[in-house]
Amino acid sequence: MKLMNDKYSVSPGNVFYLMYISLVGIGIMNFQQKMILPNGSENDGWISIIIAALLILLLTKMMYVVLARQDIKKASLVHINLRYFGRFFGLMINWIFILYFILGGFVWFQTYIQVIQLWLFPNVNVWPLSLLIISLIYYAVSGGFQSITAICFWGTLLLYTFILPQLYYITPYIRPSNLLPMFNHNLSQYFFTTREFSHEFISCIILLAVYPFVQNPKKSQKWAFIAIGASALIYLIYFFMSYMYFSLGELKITLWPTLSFIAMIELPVLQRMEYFIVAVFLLKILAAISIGIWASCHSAKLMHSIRPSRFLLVILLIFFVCFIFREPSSTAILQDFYSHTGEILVYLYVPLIFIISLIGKNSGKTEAKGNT
Amino acid sequence: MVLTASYDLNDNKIENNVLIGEYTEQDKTNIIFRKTTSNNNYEIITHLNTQMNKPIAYGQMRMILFGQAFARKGIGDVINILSRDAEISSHLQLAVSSDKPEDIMRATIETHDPLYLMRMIEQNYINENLPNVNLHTHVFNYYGQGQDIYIPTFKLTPNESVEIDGIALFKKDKDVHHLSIDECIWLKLLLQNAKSGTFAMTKEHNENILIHIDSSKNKMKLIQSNPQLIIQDRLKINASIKNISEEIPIRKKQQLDELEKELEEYVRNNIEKLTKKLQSLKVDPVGFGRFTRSRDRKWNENEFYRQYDKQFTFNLDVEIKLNQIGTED
Repeated sequence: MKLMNDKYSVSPGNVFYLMYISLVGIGIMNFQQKMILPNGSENDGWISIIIAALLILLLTKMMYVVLARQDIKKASLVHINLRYFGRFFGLMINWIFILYFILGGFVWFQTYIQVIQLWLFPNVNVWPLSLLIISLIYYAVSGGFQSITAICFWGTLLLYTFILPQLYYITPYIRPSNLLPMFNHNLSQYFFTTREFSHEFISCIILLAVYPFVQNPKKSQKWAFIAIGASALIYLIYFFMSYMYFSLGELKITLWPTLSFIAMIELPVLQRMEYFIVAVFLLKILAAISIGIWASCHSAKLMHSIRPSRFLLVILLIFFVCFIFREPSSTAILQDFYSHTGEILVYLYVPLIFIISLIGKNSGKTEAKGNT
Repeated sequence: MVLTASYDLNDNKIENNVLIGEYTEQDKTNIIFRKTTSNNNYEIITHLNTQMNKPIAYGQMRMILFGQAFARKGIGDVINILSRDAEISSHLQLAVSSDKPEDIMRATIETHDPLYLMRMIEQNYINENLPNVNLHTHVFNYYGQGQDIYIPTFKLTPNESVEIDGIALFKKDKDVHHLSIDECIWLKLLLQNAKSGTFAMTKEHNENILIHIDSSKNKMKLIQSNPQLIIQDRLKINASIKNISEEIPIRKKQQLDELEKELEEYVRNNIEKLTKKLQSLKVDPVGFGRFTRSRDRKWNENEFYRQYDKQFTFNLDVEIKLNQIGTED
């Protein structure tokens, strides 16, 4: 029951890397900050991380149910929308998703450039770097789905390899009592933090676009769940490390807490560790941007038979133009816009199609029976 | 490259001195000394550049020395600048100098090490009585609730060399009191699980004993927070005898036990003396406030420090175990 040529598809295990990359974004550098705003739950933020992860787990399960109930040849975002919402509305929703993926890519791209400008090289001319990133994106996406998966693989390894040495250097400075007393916030603060934090996870919707490119897609479900677990774990580790390392007042003035304590590590040969980490982080950002852009190229192809390579060039041109007209304040606005759109798409759209698909005919099973 | 810098007040103007390391040939460092004055804390780099043929870089700066007058007036502004600058390392050390910072810095020039003062502090908290400090701990305490900052102090010895002579206690960002180096060990025992430190005890007939702390464990317990604050502290110390007058008998197990008792009493008295002093000064470098915050949901910083000096009882239990002694039973 193979859907596609082996040349384009990947094995179920790779869903882990694809999901993980979408879940752990550049937000890992400063998500701790979002929890201390006047209505954040501060030292109890870990509860919100767990709740958000469970929510995403539930939504991912829903996505899998929806996908399993589709005709296996048409189990993708584009076809689901066309099937359930009719041609006109289906196309509209698809375009919303395409734009949403592109926006996501651009937000990450811009945030990354901002980290470099604010933290590493305040006086650097960012043009050469951004052109380099844009050409790398072109290279990755035009390489096809398999090459993107490969980049995702390297991007995943990265953060995990650095955690152990970090823990080693940070341990002498941590104060576990910072986390006490537990549960000293009210419900609305937990709600606010959970909502704020779940913005880190909204890119999980990419699964709908990736699904048809996985061999034996039903088997990939457990890998998607493991990916959610792994990303929740990495957020939790960074949460605990930074809340025990910084005092609350200090965290308020620390723009990028994760980078700040990476800077604590000083090796004789490499005194500024954070420069290195940010440089390597490029790989992760590249992977995340590439999946989004690939998904929008592919969706455009499915809908209008637009050649992906052409569409890719258009997208990169849009990137470039947006980048010319960017302003320092626009990053935050775009991020906000992206998070709130994502919130609607993930929390309303997924349950909606889930319910519709339960009411509708189950094409997945009949197809399977028909084949055997 | 600026490696060590200082802030001091002189005629209401801020006087900055810097030691600049110039790495010429292998392993040889030339130290350049520069001095500027300005009206605020921000212009140091600009003013220094007017005196240099190459641009000043401060990414490797590891030591900042405050003159006592400057520290009394407040170092909050400088901590703020340092904590916000990504180029500044968290391993940077701060210190207060009882003598003029300029003299202290000049005294280290002959060592050919522009970071001599920083290395003094580091070696002292690793091997001796100084508690663990660096910019991170200072920023942590300064912006966090319930703990005041404490910064090592330097002074010149009569023969013009530099020595660490204790710890400066701050209230908010102002230097209010200096602890002697002998008192530092008691503060260190309260602050962290110490892995080093020594203290000497003199018995009634002038017999001396020098104790080295191998490891210590400090466990505080909040007994009650209202209306009286009571904290119960259990301090366990593993120590060894470094030197001992011959008159003190420690051959028998029983004699050793007695000695341990005496030491416990001695440590307890000294620490209690220190905490009384901290209470009367209304400073909290130990972080009693931070500790209570973590145990008491209703904790409020202002409330806490209003009752800190009068309605706070600190009960201490000390348990000392002496290691590596051959005894005959």
